[in-house]
Amino acid sequence: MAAHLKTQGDRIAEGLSWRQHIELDACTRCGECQRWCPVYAQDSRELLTARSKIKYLRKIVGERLNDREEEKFISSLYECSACGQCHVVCPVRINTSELWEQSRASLVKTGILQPVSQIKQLSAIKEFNNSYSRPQQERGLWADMAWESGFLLKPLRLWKDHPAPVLYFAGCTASYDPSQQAVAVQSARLLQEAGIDFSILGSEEPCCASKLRRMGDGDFLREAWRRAEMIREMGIRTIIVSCAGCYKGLHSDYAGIWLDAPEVLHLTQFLDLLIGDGRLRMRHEVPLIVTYHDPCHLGRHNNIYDEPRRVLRTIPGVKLVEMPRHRSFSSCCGMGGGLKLAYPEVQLKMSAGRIKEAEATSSDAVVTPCQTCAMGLQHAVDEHSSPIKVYHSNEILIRSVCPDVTGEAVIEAFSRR
Amino acid sequence: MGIILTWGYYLVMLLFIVTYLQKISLLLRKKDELPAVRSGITLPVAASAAVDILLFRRLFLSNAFLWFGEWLFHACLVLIMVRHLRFFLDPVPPCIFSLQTPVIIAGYLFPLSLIYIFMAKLVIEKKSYLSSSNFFLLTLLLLSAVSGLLMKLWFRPDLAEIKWFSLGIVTFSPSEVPHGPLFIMHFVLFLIVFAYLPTHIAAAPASLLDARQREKAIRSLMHEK
Repeated sequence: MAAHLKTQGDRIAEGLSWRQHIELDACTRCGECQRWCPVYAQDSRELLTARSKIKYLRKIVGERLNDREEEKFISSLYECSACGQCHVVCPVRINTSELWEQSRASLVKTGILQPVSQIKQLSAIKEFNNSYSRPQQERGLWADMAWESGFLLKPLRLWKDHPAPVLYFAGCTASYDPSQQAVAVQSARLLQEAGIDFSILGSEEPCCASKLRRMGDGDFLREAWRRAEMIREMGIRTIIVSCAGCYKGLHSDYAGIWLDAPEVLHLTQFLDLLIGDGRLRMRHEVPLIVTYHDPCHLGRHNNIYDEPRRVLRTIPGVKLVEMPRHRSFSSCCGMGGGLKLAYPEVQLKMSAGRIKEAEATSSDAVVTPCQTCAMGLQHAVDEHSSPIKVYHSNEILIRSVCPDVTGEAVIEAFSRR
Repeated sequence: MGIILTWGYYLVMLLFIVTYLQKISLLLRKKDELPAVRSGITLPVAASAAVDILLFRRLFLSNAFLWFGEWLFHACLVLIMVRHLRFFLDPVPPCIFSLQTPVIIAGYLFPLSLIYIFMAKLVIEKKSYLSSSNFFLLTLLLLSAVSGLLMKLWFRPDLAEIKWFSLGIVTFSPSEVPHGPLFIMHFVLFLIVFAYLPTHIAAAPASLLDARQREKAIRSLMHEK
């Protein structure tokens, strides 16, 4: 068909993969997605359910959507954290997260753009190579500050000077966000404690660009290719990632892009191996009852459920209790898929709901290996004055391995600089 | 009437085939932008997908209560459909005859399973869980089941007439419709159900297989070196 004769429906249909077209037909509208959807749980509108989105998507591809329906469909597509709960419970296993992301990208190609708040962040990633609009030179500063503040056993070496067998990839949030830089510092310290020979990319570390995929930016493929090629040319074979979003990006989003895929492990997976080999030893007791929050990007999207739990259980003094919804049924905190940017009030309700679940377990703290989830949950704790603490899993581990590198200590030391 | 029903049957089948051909042509023309990460259909992948397809494993994990009704309904439906082939085949393969006892049981369980699903969705979930399309389909199936049971138990039609009518359809020589409104109702309901649900039948197993292929491919690409 000549390009100028293509309709909006044609273009959206083109954007979807042939498997996704099959998935549109596979939906039986059974309603399991509605029953489990964490966004629907906040605001019982049928429009928000996966089956409704698929119904509208079928219609829009077939050019049978009027303007009002189109508007409703688009808002529902973005009022979604793409947490993948509907994929887990779907009896025919429609890969909903990918379907929403691809639909967002297809809509953008037809000129229907993302919400403004999302566009701002996407532009920042493309312009600054990070989602914080900060200079690239500042990306590795956390490593220098950590060494100068005495949090590390030795200074961290850059890959260009020392291409070690393992690369630690800190990600944008742990590199730039003052409230989360402790995650990077603690990750590096834990790797040092285990005697791992690793390097970092410092100011050469790119943003993984996975947010581009999450929010349907049309440049994702180009940006991801560029980064994958850079990593391939460097000869990096093993990447340890402490950010769940970066893990999903480098591990899963890049899966079809890598020419020669390196091994990508989440920090908790690597630490689990190190603890199992006796290379990382717990020294101090951490007397806490904790409940574990599964990040969507690790759990539902990548099947990482056991390793973080095993790591927590090895810490002396820690008692792990589960919330009613855990593992693949874990409630999403709403921090993914650009939801917080477009619908912050919905995200807050979702986080607050999760915090209530955690409180009901009578735990002292809710622990998660995702700094983004930790930020979202902390926001709900602050808003609702909840007595429960929110910790990144590194924080609990570090208290047992080397208690002088607590998050509080890192934030205080870095704020003085 | 026989002519109308026979042509109705042909129309529904034509719609079914055209819909599938349309879908296939769309899929053949597609060039995916993102390289797909999918494994081949190996024995473990096929076996796990078969478990998903035949046992509705996912539904069992998320809603065991509903799973019972759904699985029973689908199992009964398959048995009943297979047994109905005896009207369209001549001679009838012995394996279809051998299904008589299980199909009689399935015939009674079928409407009960539908009522169970209705109850599970309407009463227990309490929210607007049952979509209008679901409601419509379940109602059609229930009416179809009830009309079938009424013919089996009280208003027995002439089976020879039904066989003659059915063979007339498949041999393209339409014949008179069997007497009685129940058969006509039963047949029309079947046509509506068939017209309403054409692509789901093939797309759902394909979606389940695809999910397993993807899982396997990502795992082997990134972890199993």
